[in-house]
Amino acid sequence: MEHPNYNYDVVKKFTLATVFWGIVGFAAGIFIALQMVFPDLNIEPYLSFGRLRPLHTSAVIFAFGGNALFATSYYVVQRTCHVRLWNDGLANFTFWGYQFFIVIAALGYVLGVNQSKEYAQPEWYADLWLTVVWVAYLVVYFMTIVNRKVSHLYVANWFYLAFIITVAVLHLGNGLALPIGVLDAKSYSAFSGVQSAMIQWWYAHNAVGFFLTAGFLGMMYYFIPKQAERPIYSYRLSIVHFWSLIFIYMWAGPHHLHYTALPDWAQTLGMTFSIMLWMPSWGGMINGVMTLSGAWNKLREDPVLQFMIVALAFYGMSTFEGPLMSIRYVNALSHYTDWTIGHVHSGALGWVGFISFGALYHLVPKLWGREKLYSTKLVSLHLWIATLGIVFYIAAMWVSGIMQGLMWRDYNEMGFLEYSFVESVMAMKPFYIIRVLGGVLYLAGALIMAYNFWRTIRGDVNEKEYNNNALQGAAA
Amino acid sequence: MSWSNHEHLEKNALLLLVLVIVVISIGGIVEIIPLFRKETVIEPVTGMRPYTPLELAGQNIYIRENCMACHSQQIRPLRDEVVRYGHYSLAAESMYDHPFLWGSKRTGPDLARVGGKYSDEWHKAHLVEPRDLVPESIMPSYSFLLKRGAKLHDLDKHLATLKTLGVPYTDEMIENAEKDAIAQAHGEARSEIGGLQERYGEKVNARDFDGQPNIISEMDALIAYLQVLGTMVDFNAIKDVEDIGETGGAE
Amino acid sequence: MKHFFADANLGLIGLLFFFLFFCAVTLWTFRPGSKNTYKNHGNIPLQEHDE
Repeated sequence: MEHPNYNYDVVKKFTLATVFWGIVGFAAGIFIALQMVFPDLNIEPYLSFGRLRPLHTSAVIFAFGGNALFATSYYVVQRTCHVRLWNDGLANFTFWGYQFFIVIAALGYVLGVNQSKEYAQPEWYADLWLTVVWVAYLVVYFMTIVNRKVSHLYVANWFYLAFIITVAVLHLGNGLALPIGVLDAKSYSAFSGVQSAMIQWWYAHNAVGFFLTAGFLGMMYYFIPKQAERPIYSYRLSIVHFWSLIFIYMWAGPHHLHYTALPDWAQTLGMTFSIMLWMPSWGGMINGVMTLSGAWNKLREDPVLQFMIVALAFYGMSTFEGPLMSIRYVNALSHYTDWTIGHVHSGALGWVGFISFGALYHLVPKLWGREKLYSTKLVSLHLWIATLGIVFYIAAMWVSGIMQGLMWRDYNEMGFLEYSFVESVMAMKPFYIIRVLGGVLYLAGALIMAYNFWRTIRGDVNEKEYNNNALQGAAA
Repeated sequence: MSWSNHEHLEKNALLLLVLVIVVISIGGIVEIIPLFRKETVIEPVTGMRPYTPLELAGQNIYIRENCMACHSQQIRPLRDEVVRYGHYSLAAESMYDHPFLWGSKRTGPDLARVGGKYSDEWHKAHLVEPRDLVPESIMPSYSFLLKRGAKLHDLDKHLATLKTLGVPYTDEMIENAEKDAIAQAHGEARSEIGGLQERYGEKVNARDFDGQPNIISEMDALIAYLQVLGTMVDFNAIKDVEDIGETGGAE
Repeated sequence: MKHFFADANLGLIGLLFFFLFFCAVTLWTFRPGSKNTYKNHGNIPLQEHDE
């Protein structure tokens, strides 16, 4: 069959942007983690923790994660539909348009333009621009699907499509705001109080559900079978997984609002559906892991596959922890503490990060027409150093978070609160230092990856390493 | 891998798109739409009023600096929180906050009822250098707020926008926005606070919050906002406090 | 609308409806002949042009 001449140019751009923004986002995370140990690192007004925290979250979620989703979705849709990406010009526009959004959003935070809505901080003008870019993304993606030359649309594309359309719906719903004037950056959210809270967490929880989960599941459903050279364990399960996941996720938002002024019935619904969500999440994890059944030896030999499987392990862990934390009585302890931060990072560093790294290691040699990566050993090194980093990070946050929660609710025998608030702050310090260490390891891993990519793209191959492997293979 | 009917494929993709939209809409509709019957969500209380222009300017500094990254404004009906911070938060107390600022993380303490707990001087010194007052604090310092003049001239636009969104500002309030802000920050030193009190009530805090009579700084605005937090609702007027907990998740 | 959503029966009806719907979809994936179809679909990523 004739090669359909895929548009790899735009995929390459998004791939490089993913690596770049990943490093920026991880570094920003380390800096704000350091600020929590050494408050003098807050350089007012531009580099204070409040302004930099959204810079970190946006850089990792929307810049690193977003570019990884663009890159892989554009790659997967072409290769599973056997057709070139629709409209080069528009695809290129989504690249530059999206980078422009990231830059104006980040500049806004530092300069003090911020809506104070978590994971939706950019002001109305950036939101409008993102809407334009996102609609272009949907059109490019959808038209490519429409033009496909394979009768069935592979399930990975379902996840990507659900991610794109749902993020559009969430963004528009939560972003409704009225600017004070066309030339003013400031706007007021259309919603207030309880309604604003519910809509915000409907948005933010499903940003997790669709941006950080459904999209990356699309990645999982393509890259794990490719890397393992085996079809997905159960295609049947993937269909049930898809529909139940996207249906149930949308109900889970209120678990962020337990014991608040949100009506009880909504809190209960949120909790119930969060617990139900455990099932489709683990269904998807099992589907991915079991793809290797009968070929477990591949896992031993291939660090790229190891990245993907460790990602699924973290996915399984954090999708168990999530339902647990959504139970009201557990949430009474965990809410407002570092436990939540640890939970988010086991999902973000472990699941989103690792499945993306795995996909990138698969992609880069293919995109630049190299036979293999510069070094497989460096992939292994990245894997272990980053895994160690995550373990430091989440263990520190578990201890500090649970300790914080227990200190806040501790009474002495006289019936008074045992600890003042600042005593809980003091108790956190050692754990905040461990967290920084975890972050540094994670960033070091990403830098190793960047080096490996740079050499791979240059066309270098670490001959010594591959020769040694060949010799060992011969000896065995 | 054959070219089956092209039109058929197109319809399939569209069908998938529509089905996805339907499936993802159900949860949101069931959980969000009923909340817009506000009388079933927001308990009737006395004392809630829209923020004064100066307080609103302060809230906008709070929003701009992203204070909610570390401070919540939502006290849960749990024994220790009520002891530490005061009465649990009511839905009515954030009904004029566009957006809500309940937060999700307490790196620092909850601020829902911080109003009136500390003096203006304490807040000023604390915001300038938190570690002067609380040596173990890890809060950033915000000394630049003292030097920077609060932007007051466009407050009428802010009030008018909020009015469009349903906050009960009157035309008179909008007209006098800048004047009221100036009056509130100068306090007793001027005679104009009569109009401010007429519009926002006798309880309004009107004084020179930052101790710098020559400038209405962002510090003035932020402290004015902090000092009103959680102080509006008249809890004495609520006979049975537990009554209003019905929608508040009280245990 | 509060009455509408507070109605215990409605919750039950909704639960039943979605549970049955879920069962139906799950059963549908086991329809006769689906095994081969799914096998083919699962192989899509492994049947690409340049390999």
